[in-house]
Amino acid sequence: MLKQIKNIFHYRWLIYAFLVRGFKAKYKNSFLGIFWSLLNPLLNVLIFSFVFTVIFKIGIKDYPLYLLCAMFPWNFFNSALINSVVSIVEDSSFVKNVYFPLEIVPLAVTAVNFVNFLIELTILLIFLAFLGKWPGGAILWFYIPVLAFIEFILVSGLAVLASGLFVIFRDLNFILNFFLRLFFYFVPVVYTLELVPPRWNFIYRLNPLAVIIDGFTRVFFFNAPPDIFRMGLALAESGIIFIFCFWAFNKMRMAIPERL
Amino acid sequence: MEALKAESLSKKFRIFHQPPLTLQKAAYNFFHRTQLYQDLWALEGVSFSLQRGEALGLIGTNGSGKTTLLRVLANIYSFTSGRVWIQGRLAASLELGSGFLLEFTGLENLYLHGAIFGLSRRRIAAKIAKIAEFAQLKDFLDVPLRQYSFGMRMRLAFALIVNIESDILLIDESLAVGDVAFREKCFARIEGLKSQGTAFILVSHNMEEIARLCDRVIWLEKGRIRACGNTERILQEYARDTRVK
Repeated sequence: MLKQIKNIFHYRWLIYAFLVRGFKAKYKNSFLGIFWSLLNPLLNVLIFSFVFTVIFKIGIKDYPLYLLCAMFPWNFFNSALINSVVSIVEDSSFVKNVYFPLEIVPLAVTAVNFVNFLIELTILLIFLAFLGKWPGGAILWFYIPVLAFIEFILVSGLAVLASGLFVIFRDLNFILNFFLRLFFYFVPVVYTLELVPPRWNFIYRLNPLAVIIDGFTRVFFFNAPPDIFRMGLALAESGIIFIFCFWAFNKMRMAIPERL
Repeated sequence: MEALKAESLSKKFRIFHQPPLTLQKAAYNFFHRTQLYQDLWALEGVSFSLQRGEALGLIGTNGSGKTTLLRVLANIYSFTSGRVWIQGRLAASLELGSGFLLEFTGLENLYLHGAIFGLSRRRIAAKIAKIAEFAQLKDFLDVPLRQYSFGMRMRLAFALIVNIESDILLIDESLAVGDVAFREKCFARIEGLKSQGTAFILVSHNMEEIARLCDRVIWLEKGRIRACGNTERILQEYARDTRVK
């Protein structure tokens, strides 16, 4: 593991080069590119706002604003996985012809999505400040980086494993898409953790992504600190998932180039 | 001094009957106990050594295992059995220029490919002028690769590979790039690197190139070494064999 991290560090310029490429592809060299990447989560916010404030009355004050705070962390998870699952196959011309640590490909894709996520959070903060709902200073600057870090660990592990598995099972992207659509309703994005019946609540507390999204909404929307214990648990779980995914990826890594 | 040594190197491939495999198919095959692949030995008992400053030619028909051998040596493919010793840095140029990004400029592509070969940004930056000079593309480095002609792309790729300072270079079918003058330049460059101690393995279907550059030749047939030794002798045998067929 340590050796692997060292090897990845040796190729840090490759990560940088892939990052530049990723941004070029995503934003097409224009500021409008950021607008386009915001469009999808904003559209979701609009739809669910309509359903849960006009059709059903959900008991959350300023519901659209709440949704906005919950949607960006979800969107990072969702789009990073969808983009990275096909990444190694898409870069087969590199993978087949040069030796380098393959996990760099999905990691760079995850990093592009992560930076995009940070830009989105900045826009969200500006928006909140504009509405006079600027979240408290100390809470914000401590919890947001920690939550973002935990989510990054979780997503990058899953992204590496998914991209490797996709080389072998070429229908994995459809399965993943389907799974993510379902999973969306099992994390507290369109509802809060408080609305979950107590007997189901423990499952949510064990789900690291649920804890992370709940943490983000607490800080941004409810202006309250998240539960440190739950965050610790989410970090531990994300770490274990990360290590497991890298271990599984290493098992199949040598078989990847010949399957392309 | 030996730069590379391979001892009874073997490589088994799983050839899938109907690629690509999906989870759906895998589940079906699991329950119906059908086998959907067969084994194919792409390399069998390949042994040879390569000295520093030596150029080794690899010849053989399509599917004889030449590119597979290069990929195994370059650590892209794993091997099934045998041993490989490598002394120094090894760089492989297979399917030259296939990884170039057409939306990127020549300069950006050089940085990306340098990084893929494990070079830091600073080390590539120090070589840019030399590479551009060699490829005769000085005025085109800021142009997206989409606008390059095929020959220009090949020249850029070749200029990069011969300028990254490695001890062993594996080159697959990429010598026949550019016009006559540029080819002469490539040959001269390879000769120059050889005299500095760089070892080469060259795969080519152009027997003139092989005859000109290689000190020894390995003739691969169905993954085995059919003959190995003096360039002139092997090339003659190979020519006779292909003529008979």
